[in-house]
Amino acid sequence: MKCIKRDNLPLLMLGVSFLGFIVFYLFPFLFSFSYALIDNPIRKEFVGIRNFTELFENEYFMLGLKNTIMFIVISIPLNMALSLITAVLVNRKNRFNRWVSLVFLIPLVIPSAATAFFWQNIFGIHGVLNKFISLFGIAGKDWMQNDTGLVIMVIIFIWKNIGYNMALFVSGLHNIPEQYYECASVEGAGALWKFRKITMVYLAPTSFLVLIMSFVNSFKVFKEIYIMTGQYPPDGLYMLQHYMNNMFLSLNYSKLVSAVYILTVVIVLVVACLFRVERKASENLRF
Amino acid sequence: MKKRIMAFYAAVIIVLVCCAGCAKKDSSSQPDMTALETDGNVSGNANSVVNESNVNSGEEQKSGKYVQTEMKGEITISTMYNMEFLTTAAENFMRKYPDVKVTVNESIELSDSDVNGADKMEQYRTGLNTKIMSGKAEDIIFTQQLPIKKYMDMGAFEDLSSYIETDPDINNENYFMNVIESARDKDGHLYIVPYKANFEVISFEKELLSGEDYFKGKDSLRFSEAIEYAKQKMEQTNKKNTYLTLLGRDGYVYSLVRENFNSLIDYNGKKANIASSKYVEWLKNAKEFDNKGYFNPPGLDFYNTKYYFVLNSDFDVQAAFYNLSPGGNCQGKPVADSEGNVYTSSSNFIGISSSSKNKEIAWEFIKYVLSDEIQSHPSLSTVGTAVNRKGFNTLVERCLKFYTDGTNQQISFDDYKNLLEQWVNQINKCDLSDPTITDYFGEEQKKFFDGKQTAEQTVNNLQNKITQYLKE
Repeated sequence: MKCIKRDNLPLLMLGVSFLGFIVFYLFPFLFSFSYALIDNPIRKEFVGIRNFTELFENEYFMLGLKNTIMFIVISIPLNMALSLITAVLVNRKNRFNRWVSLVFLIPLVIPSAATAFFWQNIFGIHGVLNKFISLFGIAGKDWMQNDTGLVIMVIIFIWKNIGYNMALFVSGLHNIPEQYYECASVEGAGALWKFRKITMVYLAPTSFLVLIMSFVNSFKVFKEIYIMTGQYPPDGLYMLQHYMNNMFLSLNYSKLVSAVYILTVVIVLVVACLFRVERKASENLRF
Repeated sequence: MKKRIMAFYAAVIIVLVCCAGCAKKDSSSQPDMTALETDGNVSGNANSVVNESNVNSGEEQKSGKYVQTEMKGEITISTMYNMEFLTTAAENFMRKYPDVKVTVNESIELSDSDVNGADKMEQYRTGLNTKIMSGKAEDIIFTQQLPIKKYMDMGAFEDLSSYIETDPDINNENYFMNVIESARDKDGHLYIVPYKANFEVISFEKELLSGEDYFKGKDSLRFSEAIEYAKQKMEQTNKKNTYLTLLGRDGYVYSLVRENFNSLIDYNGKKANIASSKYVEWLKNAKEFDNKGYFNPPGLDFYNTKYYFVLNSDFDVQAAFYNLSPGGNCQGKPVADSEGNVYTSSSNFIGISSSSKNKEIAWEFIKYVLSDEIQSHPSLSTVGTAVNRKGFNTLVERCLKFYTDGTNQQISFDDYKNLLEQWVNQINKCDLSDPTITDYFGEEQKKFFDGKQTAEQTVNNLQNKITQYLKE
């Protein structure tokens, strides 16, 4: 142990989990690339990049990609904004704060199947919402269908993730020194100025973390959609994961791997860009 | 230190990649090892003898001359159910060729309850999928309730055309070649061959057809026409307790879907044509007939009441017997689709895995299953007929004895045989419809009949689901 310098110890400890990552994730991922270059694992005929080009010509891969992007673009900013507002309200000194935080965190621990059942009972064709509007003479509809399905999924996503993001923002708010606000108050700054120039600026690292987590969690909404609408949902709810899941079930591993690689490249690029932006934004921050 | 750690990780990745490469090599050489073990002679020469003989016979078969391979090695068989004739075939085959080992891997016991059976069927399919995709499937695959078309499209089965074409024993004199070749695709490939032929027959109540010659000029019947005629008969008759069909509302719609499957589902064009079909009408009719009690007579005492079902579905050997039986009350013909094709079920076929290293021995085993000996085995079929002509004659004799024993019904062997033979000769297709699509029809129809959606919503859902499935 003497030969291990104190500075290298963390690296060594991290190495254990990194080794697991290599063996169980990275290696299978890299090895599976060979599947993307063949027609199927039985014939093993080399097809070059044909699987990738065919994906971009595939109506349902493109639909899944479009819906996934649309869902991310709508749900993440909305979720972040609502989480921040909730966090600021919860952060105010109030005897009910602890209970309010708890209520927002409950959806996190509810299993996806129960979540789906709950929302199905609200938005389904025989759901509570339809029964309620029928009281006013309005005809009910299946809210999970094309035109409203995505909105319902955004609501479910926000309901499920707002508590987690709120908790992250609250911890970020706790890290901002109180003196900054006191100093600004002495100088005559208003609440809005303090929010823009102090809260938002010093929450930048936390916001970045929330953004990354929301981005990752946005792909998990597939579980609820799948439980509620099955393998083949209305076109408006067809996500990239549907395509990949169905490719797996129909034994089309070559298309599955190609889609996974495209998705991975997109995610890595987006996260890399976000890291770059965050680094620039946090350059001049000092606590 | 950082450099050392990085070097360590690089080494781990290289080792893993090498191991994966080795594993692949091992799997490809696995049959050779098996051959060695069976032979008991661990030498390179013995190994090459087996391989050479396989290659030679394959080449000679391609050149048009059939040469039996050296019968030495091991073959494995995948089957969903335990079948007595298969066990017998495996035992006899090993006795006939002592250097060949046959292992039957079966999955489901027939005594299982339905629920467990469904679970085990799914387990079996998943397991077989994994084996096929990893190139480790059994040498011979029995096709019970499997996605055969998908397997064929992926190249999971060996093309058996050259085996059949070069084998002098496989001919029309010995076999019903129309059944043997029923699964041949449009490109001329034949990936699976049947070990028996079974087909559906629809029959009318004889009493209600008296004096009419509905069957004149018809070799087979289309369900849509037959049910329409049956409806007329039911409405015209003054006999009490007359109902349309025992098939029920699900069976009624399913039969119409089956008849029109090729026009409802366009595999080549990757589209569903359900929205433009008469599917809505079929659903509504089924519900209406059900509400009127055409299918299910409520409270009818079947034991003490005289009743009639105008149209019935029956299976081949039984339907043929009752067609001829003076005391029988049914008169029917095989079911044909809208294009006049008569289908045999794809669940009674056998294929050789394309990854098999013992294809020649596997083919010899399939030939043995198709031989007089196994085709005459009592357990081969209680529903359906043998595909081998001698086996067929034995089966006809056995069935006739079964139906007439203990009764005073006299039907000649020749009449019974000729009628069945006439029906079997009509088979020209194997039913390769995708079970996934059939399941979608079942799921959506159930929602409609349970009142969870309208007929129009059912059509829309099916149209969307199946279009997505085909276009993905």
